[in-house]
Amino acid sequence: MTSATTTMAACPSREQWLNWVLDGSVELGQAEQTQHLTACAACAAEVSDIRRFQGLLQRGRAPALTAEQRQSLDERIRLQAGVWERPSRMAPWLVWGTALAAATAVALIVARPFHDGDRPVPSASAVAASEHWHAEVEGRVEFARADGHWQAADRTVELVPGLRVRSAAGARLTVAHHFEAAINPGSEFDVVGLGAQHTDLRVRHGEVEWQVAKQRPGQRFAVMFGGFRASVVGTRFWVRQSSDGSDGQVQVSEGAVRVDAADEPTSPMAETTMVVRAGQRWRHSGGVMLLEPSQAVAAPRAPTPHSVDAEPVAIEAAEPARIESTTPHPQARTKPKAARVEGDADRQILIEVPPQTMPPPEPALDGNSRQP
Amino acid sequence: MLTMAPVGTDERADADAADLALVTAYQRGNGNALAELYRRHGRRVESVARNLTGPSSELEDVVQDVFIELQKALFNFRGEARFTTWLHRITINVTLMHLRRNRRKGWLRWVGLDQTAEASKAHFGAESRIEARDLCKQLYDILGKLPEKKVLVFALYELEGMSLEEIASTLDIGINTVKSRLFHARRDVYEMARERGALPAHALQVIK
Repeated sequence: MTSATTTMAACPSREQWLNWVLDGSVELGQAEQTQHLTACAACAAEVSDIRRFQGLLQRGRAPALTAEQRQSLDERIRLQAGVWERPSRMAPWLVWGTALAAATAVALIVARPFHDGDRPVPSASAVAASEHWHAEVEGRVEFARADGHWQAADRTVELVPGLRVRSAAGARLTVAHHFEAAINPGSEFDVVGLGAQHTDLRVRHGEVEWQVAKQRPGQRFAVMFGGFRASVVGTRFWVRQSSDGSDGQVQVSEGAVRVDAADEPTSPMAETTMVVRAGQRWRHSGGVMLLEPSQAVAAPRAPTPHSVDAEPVAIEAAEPARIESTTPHPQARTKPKAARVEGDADRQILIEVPPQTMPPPEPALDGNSRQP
Repeated sequence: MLTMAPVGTDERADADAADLALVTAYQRGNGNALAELYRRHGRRVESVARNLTGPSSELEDVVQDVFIELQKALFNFRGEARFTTWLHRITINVTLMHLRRNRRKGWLRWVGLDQTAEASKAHFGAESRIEARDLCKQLYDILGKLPEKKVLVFALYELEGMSLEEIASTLDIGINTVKSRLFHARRDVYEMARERGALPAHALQVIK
């Protein structure tokens, strides 16, 4: 320090002055103190330095956010709060208009249709109308019907409403031309409803990855978990639900999924709707819903069915299966790419998609046009 | 008999009532209430967090984390304390967690001004930028060496401008404890600043 106090001999009463001034219990200007300070140059300099130092503190404050940073923060908080906005405030005609737009988008946004060369692909409704819902099984799966009796599935299992499906070691179910479910070890889900226009499933606990064929307008493929429902807009996503129901997650790797709380009408979030796009993870925990980039979190573990022994087949190179084929769909042997957690996993970045807004059409990965 | 209320009491009561109404609205599912709470208190949260962290490139994240924690906790708010006091507690807790996390990672506890060059440029202006930036850096270097309890009281009082009563209420400690910690923090900061020559003559001349 180059101020006067460093060069002067310290006054014997410096310590007392220092305490008084720093404690704020001394009001300078009183006669006694003024007298001492007039007589003692060292104390006068010290007190002066302290006062200047205290004045300087305000100048030493850290800089505030710039206007740009504040605008960014405002937007992030607004979006965070906007998660809770209820679409019911929209005009009824606008809601219906959005629903119509959503239906159109379902047709437009198809990440990976199950196609067979140039042959037209039968829709899910066509499959439903002509066949039972038989799922081919890879790995070990158990199922229970209304009687609650669990039994091991053979190579196929007939999916009916009310069926419960679980896998201790991991397995994969394939309903040709409709969907595949990669069940991680220890997971269980229910078949809630099946029909030409709807497929409703519920993950009781664990983690299941779904790869779904394109849905036509009016069709619905939905997976419920906790009090929430993830409806397919695109094609590939996974759902994780904790056993106690307190935490649920949806991560989308392809296409987009709409998440709402329609499975719990009494929830304050019952009318909340969000679209989760590829590369994003939605989760709710403790009454809070967040949407964040999925690269910041671990990708789901791929199930390892016992019967799968081949090397992973690149999704892009997968050969389509014929409708009458009884062999597992080649894509069933693919494993989701694993991703390691990098960086600060504690940080959360909220990127909320405005409710009722459909994602834009995605370009085809392989250059093929996607049929609406 | 009329009772005299301190100036501002009515305004404060009105503000508290408005905050409570917003919390209640949020608890009933009105998402706009959170946005309104941010509009009302966001700047103060930013200021408290900024004065605790010092110059940090992560200030935006800290503020947002505060509102994430607030969002989680709002359902539990019963109005037993003033909303602002409660919010300040959340802000302080989140900020301290942020600082501790950075310290565990081996980062500098107080981030250098280089990381916030644009902000500091706008903040300090052209004339006294060097002196003020140096002062800021020195100050937060010193604060980084003090115990957390002292830093809290010092930053909230000297930098944030909170009253002793506010600090006592926010930290849930007695006012004499606040005074004691403040005194020792002031003394430590001042002495350390002197020892390291952090109070250069030209800096002191700035306010002469």
